[in-house]
Amino acid sequence: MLKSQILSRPLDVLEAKRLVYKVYANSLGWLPEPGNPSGFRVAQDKNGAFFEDNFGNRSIWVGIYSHDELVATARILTNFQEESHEVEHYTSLPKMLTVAKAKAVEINRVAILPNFQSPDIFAFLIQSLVTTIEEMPVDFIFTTVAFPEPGNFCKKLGFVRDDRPIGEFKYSAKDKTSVSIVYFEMTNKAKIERLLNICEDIITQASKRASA
Amino acid sequence: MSVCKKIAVGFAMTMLSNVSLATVSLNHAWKLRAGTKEVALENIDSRWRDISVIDESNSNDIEYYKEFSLDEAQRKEPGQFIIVPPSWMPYQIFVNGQDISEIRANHSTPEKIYSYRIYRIPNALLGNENNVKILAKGEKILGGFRGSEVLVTSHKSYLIPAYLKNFFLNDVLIIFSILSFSISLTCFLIAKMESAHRRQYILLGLASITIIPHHLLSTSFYGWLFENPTAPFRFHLFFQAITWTSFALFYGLTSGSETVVRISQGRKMLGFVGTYILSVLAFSLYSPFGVFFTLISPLFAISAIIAPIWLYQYRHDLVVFCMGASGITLSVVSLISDVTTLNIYTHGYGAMLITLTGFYFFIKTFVRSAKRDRSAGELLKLMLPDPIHLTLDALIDAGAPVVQIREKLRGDSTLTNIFIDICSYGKMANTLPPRIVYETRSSVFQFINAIMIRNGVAFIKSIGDSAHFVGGLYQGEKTSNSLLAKHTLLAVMELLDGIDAMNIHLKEKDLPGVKLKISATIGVCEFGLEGPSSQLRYDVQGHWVNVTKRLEDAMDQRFYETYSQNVALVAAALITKCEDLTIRKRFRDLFAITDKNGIKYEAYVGRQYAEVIDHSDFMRAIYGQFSHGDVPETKPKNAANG
Repeated sequence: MLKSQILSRPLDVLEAKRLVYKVYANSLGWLPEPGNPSGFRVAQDKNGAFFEDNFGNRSIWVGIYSHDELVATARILTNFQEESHEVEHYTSLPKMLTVAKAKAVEINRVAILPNFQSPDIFAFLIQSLVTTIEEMPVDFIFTTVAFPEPGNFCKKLGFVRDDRPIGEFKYSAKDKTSVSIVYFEMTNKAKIERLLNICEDIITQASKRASA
Repeated sequence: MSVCKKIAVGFAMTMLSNVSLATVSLNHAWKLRAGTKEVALENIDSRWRDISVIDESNSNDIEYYKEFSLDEAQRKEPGQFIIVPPSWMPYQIFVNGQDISEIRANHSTPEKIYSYRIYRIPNALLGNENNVKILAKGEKILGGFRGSEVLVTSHKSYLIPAYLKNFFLNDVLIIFSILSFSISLTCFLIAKMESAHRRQYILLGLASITIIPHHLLSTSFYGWLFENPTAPFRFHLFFQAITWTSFALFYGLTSGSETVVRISQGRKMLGFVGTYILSVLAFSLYSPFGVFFTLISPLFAISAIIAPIWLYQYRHDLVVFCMGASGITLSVVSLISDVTTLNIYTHGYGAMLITLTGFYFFIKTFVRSAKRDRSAGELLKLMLPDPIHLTLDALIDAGAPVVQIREKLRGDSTLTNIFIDICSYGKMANTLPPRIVYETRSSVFQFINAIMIRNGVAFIKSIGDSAHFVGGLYQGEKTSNSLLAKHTLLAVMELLDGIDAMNIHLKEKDLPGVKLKISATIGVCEFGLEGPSSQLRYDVQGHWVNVTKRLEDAMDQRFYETYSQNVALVAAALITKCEDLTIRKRFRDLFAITDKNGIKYEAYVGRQYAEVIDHSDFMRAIYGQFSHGDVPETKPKNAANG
């Protein structure tokens, strides 16, 4: 049984951060370099390691639970005070997002536990993020993705790729692949409806298979 | 001593009389004999019309006589020369009774009239007491030396100033003759080809060639033509009248003077001028020189007054104005020299400068024409589809007439047609300012055109909110129908996929987003330059163009309810001809229309998004996100890595 939730309690947020650590560090073998502009670092408590950074005060975490276990999470980084988005520490935003800075939210720290990396969980996470953001005074969602995947998948969903020559960049020189900013208009109701329907179809299909 | 120093010394010495033991200056105490009359001359440069004895004697043979002494040292110095100032009349020169002129027996016509004459005096001829006799022929109105000093010298440094003066005042006119001839030939040739400034080319050519008789006075040419000493002057003055009239008219036309334009176009006026000139010619053959000059003077006078006025009207072109003004000034200096008997005849320079002014004007005109042709060529290409540019270039380069070009560009073949329409354009036009509507439409069509060009589809025309594109123009056998269909469908797909990006770009420019409907067909169409002969326009016509329009019309409100906007309707034939199944999969829903004649057309719907996002797409995304292990990390933006 899947359920989604905005993580408002500190303990829940901490669990989300711990999940991100598990996926990035343990599963993917990645750790942040010291001194990075995001303040992205490993922290520890009695329950183990988790990731911390400088954007805690404007983060909205969304969690997906399967049978009360947090299995997937993502963070919505708001910018209502018109500070810099996290990605702006690494590259510049396309003009559309710069102009609407306060009305653009950045999605990052997407993580799904390895055993739960399935289309329906992923679709549910996307659906949850979009429906959460739909209720905010937001014009754009953006994130950074690698191409061909998951970049082309995002384009199929209706995201637009930043086509500037400097649109492709690396967060770190050590990164193997570069990423691009992709963004989605939250003012286009038809697009939102289509995206949600696609996610719903995937979730429904998975549910049918499970019951079968 | 260096050459420069010699020249400097020579110039200095020339200004003084009797300043060197090697040089004797004969500038005073000449005797002049005309017939039986004799008079003492203070200066050899007195004009004949000012010498009463010439007038009284009515003789055209005038003798200058002077005696001079040489001391022993001077007499024995080798290489003695006598330097005589220029004279417009022919003369012989005798030293101690010996003719040293070294010219042919018939000294009856003037030659090299601006030259100082330098004659070698054989040493054996000279004694301690000597005399020099100059025998001149001519017309009292033109006679007289143009300089006061006759020098006898053995010092070669005194020759250099004379040589220099001869070059710059006389010999240079030969070069000017060659240049003037070349320029006039060029002008006449160009006048034949170029209609825009034909009259000006002809006038400049006429002026350039008719100044040559004047320049020929610096040569021995007239000796072959005339026996009469004043005939060369009539000859060249007659042509000079044409020169200055042509120059004046040239400036008049260049400045845009209406008077001159009317003169140049008016047959009556041209007839009057032609009759006047022919009359002058007739009179000049037999009339006294004075009568001839009186008849011809009006043309000089009118030109002298009017040319500067018209030149002043053209003063916005500083180069033309300065050159022309300088040329006129130099010519006027000659006139003053003539009146004051100074030997500063810069008339040739003046005429050359004015000719070069005209030439400069034509260079500018050429450059302007070239720029105009280039712009016109670029504009023409912008107004015609890309596929015909090469063919058109070849036809224009070959000088093909319009009729032939039209014929070559006409044809029929299998083409694809794409109509793209901006939905709700009328509503936009009614609610938004015209500038916004115009900029939106322009931006949208620019975006669409870029996609079409990438896929080899050419823009034909736009009408209001609709644009017509065609694929396969002038490709014939080179492109199969299958490939043509594929490229067209790829263009349609790219456009559907790009609508969101296009609307993003519109929003960046504060323009409203739009929705599109696209229709496409394939079939044989006719193409070429269409329209009334006064205004041709490139177009593609035919049954399949009409069908494309019908498909577009079929995408109405009811259609939108089912398929939404940002959608394409492509003819079934276009789908079936495309062999690429991946592309065909994009157009899945069958839609049929029936026209007013009951003819049914089948088409397939293509939607904005590749609808099929399935399980496998999600799996690929998950793998892409969570398998390569790179996530956002370190390094500030301003670090060395960029």
